[in-house]
Amino acid sequence: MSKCKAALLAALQLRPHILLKVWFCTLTYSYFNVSLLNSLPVCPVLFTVGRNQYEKMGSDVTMLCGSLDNSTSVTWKVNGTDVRAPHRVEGPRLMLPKVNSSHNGLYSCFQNPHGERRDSINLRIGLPPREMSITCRSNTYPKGFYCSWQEHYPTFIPTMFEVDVQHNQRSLDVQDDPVHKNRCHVRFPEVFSSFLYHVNVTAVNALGKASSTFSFEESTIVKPDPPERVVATPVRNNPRRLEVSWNSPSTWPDINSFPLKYFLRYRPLIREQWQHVELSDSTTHTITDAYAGKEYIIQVAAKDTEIGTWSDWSVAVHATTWISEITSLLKWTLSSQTSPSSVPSSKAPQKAEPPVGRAARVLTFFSPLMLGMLLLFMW
Amino acid sequence: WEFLLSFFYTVRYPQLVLLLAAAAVSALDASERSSIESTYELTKYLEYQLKEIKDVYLTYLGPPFNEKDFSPPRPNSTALTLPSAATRLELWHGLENQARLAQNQRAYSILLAAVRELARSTLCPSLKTSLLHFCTGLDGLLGSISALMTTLGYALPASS
Repeated sequence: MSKCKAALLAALQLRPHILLKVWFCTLTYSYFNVSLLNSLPVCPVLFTVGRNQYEKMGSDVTMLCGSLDNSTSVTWKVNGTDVRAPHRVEGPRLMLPKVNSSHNGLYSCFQNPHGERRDSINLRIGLPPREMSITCRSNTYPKGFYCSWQEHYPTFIPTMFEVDVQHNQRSLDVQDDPVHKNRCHVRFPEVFSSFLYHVNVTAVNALGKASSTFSFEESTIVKPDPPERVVATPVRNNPRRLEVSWNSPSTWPDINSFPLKYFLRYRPLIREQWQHVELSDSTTHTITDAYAGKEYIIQVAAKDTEIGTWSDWSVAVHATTWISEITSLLKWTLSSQTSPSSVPSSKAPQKAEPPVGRAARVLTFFSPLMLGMLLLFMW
Repeated sequence: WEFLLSFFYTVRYPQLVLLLAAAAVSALDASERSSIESTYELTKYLEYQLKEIKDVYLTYLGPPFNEKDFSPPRPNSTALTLPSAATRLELWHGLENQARLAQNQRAYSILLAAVRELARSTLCPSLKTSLLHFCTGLDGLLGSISALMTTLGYALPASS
């Protein structure tokens, strides 16, 4: 017998009327059924659930035990233990002054003197919603846009959001985002419109509601996703060049009618300052002023040729400019002098002699000549 | 005044701009391509000029027009028959070049008439000069579009 099932049966013996909450994508409430449990693919999360009571932080709370009359005497428990917080009991009522989140819990009341349980209240302390900030963006222009909102103040209790988008005095169809809770999607009803879009987000919970609005013009929210699959390769026999190529973002639906232009930035790994190149709609570029033998970081951004703002920078790619084999060997022998255990990155003759001795001998003999050659090949 | 001001916001360049971009790709010869490109550059310049003039003009009108967050009332689409660039995407995709150019021709003609009227009734001399200069540019654009239509073999729309 699974642990889940055993725990469930044990709990049932104590409280045969518990409600079982089963975790799937949607919540379902049902009375316990052994055969149902056998077929469940996941262990049901077991806890007793009463009716919810939401109260505002800092307020004085009164909980009423069922529908008992005022003369009834009850005993209250929270999460199975005595109520420790300052409180007052008057007949079937439990009063808690100036509540905070420590008062959260499952409160049960038992009628005296026999102790029959009469009610279960899940007390949740929270706040009503307050203003939010809304932003909208179109990375799929001209197909549609999405809006996201952010609450500045937590509510601590379940809060839902109603979104309304108006354009040219008409309400647009709004789709929830399947992944992001605070995001929704809208299709553009038309393109090149000068009418503003008005987004109204209303946050609603048991303690109140609050609305925030955001208005914008079609062209101002256009921001593509960054370019994809950026590739940078060195050019053989050309130590100052790097060939960079990329793809337009796959989320941009119509690259032919709505071309993108690009911005490229690059710097050697060891430097702080970027170099920038603004490009048209071509998806390749050759950097011609790189330093030989240096590792570079390269990023690309995209923007619609006419409207909107630049995308975020693409993922950074690293590339090292081409360096001749002789130069590479010279560098290796030079670096071997300082760190004898270093391994050359390009082909180097492997001999049985210890590298320290060999490098030292080569270096002593050729050092002025090598430095000269090195400089020659670098520039 | 609200009508004329709204018009600044209604007329857009995207139709012409995109037409030109698309046409430039499939244009038959170098001179056609070059005239399309220069017309395209002209529209960009005019858009920039228009934005500048708009700011100066709103300042000239004073409150509430010169306030930071002033947004002109958009013309009620049923009340006025102003040309609007707004269109459904699939309709726009399906437009023939002739129709695109003709629509742009009509829109810019109306804008030209509106700005000429604005210039005529503007008392501030420097603003009047700017508006008239803009009209010259617009007139040039209309000429470019007409020339393009003729080169491509399209019938010119009857002037209203």
